[in-house]
Amino acid sequence: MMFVPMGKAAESQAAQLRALVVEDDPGSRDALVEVIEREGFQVAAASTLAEARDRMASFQPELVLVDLQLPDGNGLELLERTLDGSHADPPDVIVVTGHSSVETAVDALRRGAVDYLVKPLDIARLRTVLLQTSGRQRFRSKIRQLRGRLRQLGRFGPMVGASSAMQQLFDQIARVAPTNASVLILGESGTGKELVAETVHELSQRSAKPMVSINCGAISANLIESELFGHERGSFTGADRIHRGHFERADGSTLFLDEISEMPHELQVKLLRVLESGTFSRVGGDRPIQVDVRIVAVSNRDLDLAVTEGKFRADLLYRLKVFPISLPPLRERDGDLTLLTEHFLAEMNRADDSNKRLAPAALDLLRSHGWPGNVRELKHVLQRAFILSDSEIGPDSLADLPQRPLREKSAEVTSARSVTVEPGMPLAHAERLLVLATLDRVAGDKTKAAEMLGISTKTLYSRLREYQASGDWEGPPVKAKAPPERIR
Amino acid sequence: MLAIPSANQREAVRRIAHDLNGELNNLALNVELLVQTSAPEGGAGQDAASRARYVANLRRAIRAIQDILEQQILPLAQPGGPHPEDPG
Repeated sequence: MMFVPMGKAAESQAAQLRALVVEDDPGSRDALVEVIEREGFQVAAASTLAEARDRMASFQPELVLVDLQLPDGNGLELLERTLDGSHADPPDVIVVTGHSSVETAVDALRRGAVDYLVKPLDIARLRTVLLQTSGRQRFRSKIRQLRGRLRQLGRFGPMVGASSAMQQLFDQIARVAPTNASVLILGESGTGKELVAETVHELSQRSAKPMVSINCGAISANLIESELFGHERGSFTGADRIHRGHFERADGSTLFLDEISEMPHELQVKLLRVLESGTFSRVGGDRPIQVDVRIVAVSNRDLDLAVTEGKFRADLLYRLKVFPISLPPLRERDGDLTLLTEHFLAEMNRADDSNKRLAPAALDLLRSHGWPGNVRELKHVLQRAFILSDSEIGPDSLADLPQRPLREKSAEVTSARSVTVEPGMPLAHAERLLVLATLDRVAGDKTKAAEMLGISTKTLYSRLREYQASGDWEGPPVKAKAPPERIR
Repeated sequence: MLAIPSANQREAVRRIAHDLNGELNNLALNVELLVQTSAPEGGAGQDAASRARYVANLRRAIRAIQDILEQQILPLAQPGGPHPEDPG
């Protein structure tokens, strides 16, 4: 078909936008396709719901115009499928119908359609709708661009990190956030699990409502059920009125379950039932309450291990683990320490209306630390140093920072978590690498390192003395630890 | 006094309105396409074939509207004509 330069404004703005026309009447469908093509859209057509679903997947339109009455169902069904949260970037859906009623229009808009057109189509109104779609898509694309630029600068929402580990994490968040999938966030203490949960919520279609949070480890076992599911009046002593629980308050939003591993076993069953059916009853009540809640759960404990130990239900873990996200510890985030330090310092300077700087020697000192408490520990150390310093934060204000017990001399110690042991390497050398890397991983805790290595602390101390004497290790002086008395 | 139409009657009238709106929609869209291709800046050679197609579509839509009027609407208006609930 030849392109006629009509609707130039819309055409330039709508460049590359894809529209899907779902209409069973061939005459109306073909004519509508042509009209929209002339507005600069790339257009595909479908005559049934089934065909439309296939086209949605293969063509990935930004705009869908769907007739309400289709041979194999109601056009609103397509709307539900499109906006069910499984599409990361759902299209704008416009409902078109030959028999208008206020009820259908309201129903369509309530279900997520962006507009409603009545046949015979008012072409001027159709054009306005197409222009609005172009505008919305342009706006979304601009947001995507800006997010991309921010990511290059090491920022992703409230999160900071330019390391490859964090860039992968940002990718995962960006993919899962717009869906309705449950998210399980795992990571060491202080890695920013709550911040990830907030970011997932903020980037979701539920962000208009606030995220509702509950710390499963902070509420006593006899209160948590009522806190989560609410209670009816008179359901127990002191229940003098109806209480809406966290699930009800999170309807249409996200429920953040902190320290999920601490949830009492009997409540795990009830949580599983809610996740499976979307319904629950208040404590003391039997009326089922339907809710639409997305779960984002957090744990700093190994949940697989908790399942093995019988402390956590396997079926609940599978339900929660639809999309697991593992947060890297700070020691595995190459280069992020400087970025985070600058970020926290800028925040503190803003709050304090000051302009304090970090001396290069202080930054070196920060870099040499193992950060077992991760980003939270870094923030606290900086806060303390900030308070103690005048204009420049020097190494003296970081005097309390525990020195990293080892400074790797060996190139083979590639990170706190991994060592490279080549075939043919002398056993003593391989042993040294493993001992030092383990010690680094546990931030110098010799008892813990010995336990992990399966040797006695006495053996570990003995090895460390050897390494120190040969200059392979620069830790603090190692004294022999008196062996415990043998009990006969 | 006018009788309140039954649910079946309402459905039958709604069906007629739906068909009529569909054909009027065809009419509106093809008129729009014809106007666009007939505009001075859009009158290239290839559009002649398109214009002929739009005109044919317009004729078809007008015929369909005529059919709906003659076969479905007018009989309803005649005394003793078919009732919207009648089959066929």
